[in-house]
Amino acid sequence: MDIILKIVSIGLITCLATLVIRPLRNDFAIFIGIAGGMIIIFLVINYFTGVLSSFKDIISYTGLNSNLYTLLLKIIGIGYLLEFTAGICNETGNNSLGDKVLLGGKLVIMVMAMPIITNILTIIMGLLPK
Amino acid sequence: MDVEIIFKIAAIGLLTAVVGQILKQTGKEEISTFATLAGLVIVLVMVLNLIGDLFSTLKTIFNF
Amino acid sequence: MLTELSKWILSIAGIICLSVLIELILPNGQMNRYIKGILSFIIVLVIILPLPKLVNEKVNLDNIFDYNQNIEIDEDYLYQLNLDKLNALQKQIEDKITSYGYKNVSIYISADIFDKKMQIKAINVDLSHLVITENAEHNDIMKIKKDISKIIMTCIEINEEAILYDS
Repeated sequence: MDIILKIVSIGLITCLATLVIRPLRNDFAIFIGIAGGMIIIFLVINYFTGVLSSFKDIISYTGLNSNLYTLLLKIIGIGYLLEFTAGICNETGNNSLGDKVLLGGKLVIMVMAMPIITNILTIIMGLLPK
Repeated sequence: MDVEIIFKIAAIGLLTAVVGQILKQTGKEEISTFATLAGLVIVLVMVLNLIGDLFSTLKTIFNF
Repeated sequence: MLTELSKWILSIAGIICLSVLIELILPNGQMNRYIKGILSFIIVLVIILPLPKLVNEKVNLDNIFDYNQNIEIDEDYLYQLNLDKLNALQKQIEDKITSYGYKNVSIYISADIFDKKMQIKAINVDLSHLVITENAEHNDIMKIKKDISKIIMTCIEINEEAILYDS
């Protein structure tokens, strides 16, 4: 229960600090926002590793291919990184830059997921009568 | 990794704003610009360290 | 046949549980919908994966999730590793020389640090700050050099000509 209090209080403190600073200096308010977000992420990052190791357990219990785990992990990780970066870009008013970051990441994920789609197609083509 | 950093950034922001105002009032415009710039760089380094930490942690977690 | 069937059902249950969990922890934004789409593709693939066995079709599915086929050596990592190795080696030799009674001898190993097999090219021994303590065997500079060469050659494999002295 300790952690939830920490998260809530850091969120509120960051909000209030940005509120105070914004009329004085607009750029510093953005920095405070970024720092607060990072601190919240760092607070919960240990839970995240726990969740991911339980994913690994699920995969090994159900006999799925372990390469699937790395693939899913990479896709989730790219998603998180992109959302952070694009969020910061948007917050600083650079909306088009954020869009480009997202576009690049989407293409990377697409390349990683391409073998899945081609495999589906090959399996279906193998099932069809010749 | 603490709340301190938020207060630090806020304090530096307040300080640079006040110092800049005072310097501007006394007519030293160029020093005031440099003071604001210095504050900005200090905060930028702090925030960049945070972001770098985050990215390296994510890199190890998601074993890229 | 029954074990195959139960394996299939188990894997479908697993991938569906996983995808629900992943959707819970996904960041909400533009990437959310995108990753969900890819998850649905993965579910479809897991569902139809055992079907070719039913029609006895020979489809090679061994490397179906294998994305690590092009493994590259990370240059930065290699560089750091070699650097650490070299520093440790230098420290080891210097400690050994100090234990023989010759203090403040600094060693510099030059090697091909970007290569996977770190090839040691030469060793520079700096005797300019040499302090000879009382438990040293010799006082003559030539004999000291010979002694140091011997100590170095016990630590690493290197020709005597590759050990250079600058004093």
